[in-house]
Amino acid sequence: MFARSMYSRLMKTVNRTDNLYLTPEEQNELLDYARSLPRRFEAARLIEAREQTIVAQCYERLRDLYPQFEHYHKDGWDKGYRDTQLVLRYNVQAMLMDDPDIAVDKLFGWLRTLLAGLDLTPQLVRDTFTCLRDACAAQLPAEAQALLEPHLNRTIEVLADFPEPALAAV
Amino acid sequence: MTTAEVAPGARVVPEQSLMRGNFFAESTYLKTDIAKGTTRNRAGTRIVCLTADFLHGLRRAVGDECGPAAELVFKSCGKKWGALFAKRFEQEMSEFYGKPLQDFMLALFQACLTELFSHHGWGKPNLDLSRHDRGLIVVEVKDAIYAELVGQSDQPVDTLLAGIFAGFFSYLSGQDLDCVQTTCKACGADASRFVLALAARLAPVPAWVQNGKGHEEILGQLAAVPA
Repeated sequence: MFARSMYSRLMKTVNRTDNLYLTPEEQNELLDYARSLPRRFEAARLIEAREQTIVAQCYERLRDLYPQFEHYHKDGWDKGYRDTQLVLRYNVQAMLMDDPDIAVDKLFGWLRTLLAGLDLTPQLVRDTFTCLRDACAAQLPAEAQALLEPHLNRTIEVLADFPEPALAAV
Repeated sequence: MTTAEVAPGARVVPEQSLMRGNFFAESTYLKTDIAKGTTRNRAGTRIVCLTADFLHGLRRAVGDECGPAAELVFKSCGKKWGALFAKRFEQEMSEFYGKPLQDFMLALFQACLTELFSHHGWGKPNLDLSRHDRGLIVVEVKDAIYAELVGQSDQPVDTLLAGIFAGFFSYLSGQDLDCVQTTCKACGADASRFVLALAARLAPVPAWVQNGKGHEEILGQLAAVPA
């Protein structure tokens, strides 16, 4: 009810300029965003096509970093793979809308509680999404990566922001 | 193109096992139909917002009407509401995530519970199950509603929330649980803390709190008695 209309450049501008006409700067800001949409769609198409390769590459690295992980979590790698797909998809939404708050609101706050509840360490979460960022960089052209990377950086920052568990299970 | 890649224009359909996101995501959780004057959550449950003035008024009115029994009334109302709250939570979560709530892994249950209370404005709860084997559950709530509204007090003020937790967890566990608030932000603590256990076990705790016994001391004393 309150935040639904906060999303996207268009709605943010509309809300900010309630009862006013748009200034030339505001019009230009929206035109710039509109002009960037074909590039954003192209980046999203590439990520969709390479999603499995990207996430698989990320998990190949993680298995080396955390060889004990599956001792603590049954099917932990499969579930982690699935959650990482989800994170990547919400990042793509955020990139399309050019609004990092979308992923934080729709997924990250909730997912962070979930990850902390599994007694994972902030370091493991940081490593997971750093590996995801690295895999994206390896699989995507520079222009697509440039659009996605700020959102992946925000992912690392937000999702790893929880206290160390009393007894780590990694 | 590797086998993992998808032809241009094709759509990658999420695997069945792919978990859905946050049911309570602010942008999709509530929808207001201005023409009808109704607000519903994404499962269709009707929601109404209560202002701080209303909650203040409710507390004052119950206090005026019931005197020393007011806290008991809050606890009792909370228990009823909490059980209904849990019933709806169970329904909505099971429907949304496609499996019964009792099959949720604990971390998912915790995350959804935190979102439920946070998105309804009760404060942000954190469930501590480390003494579960001793029959004790602790809930720590940051920014609990009445602690903020009342401001300063010499006794915990979130009795309504304690009742809600009691009803909520009683419904989900199928056992008659009680809940006592042991610390309160209105009394100067950093957060409001609640202890849940079988009702008989918690019977002496309100007096301990009134006599100034601390949260850890209370937990230690309760944990020393076998569940």
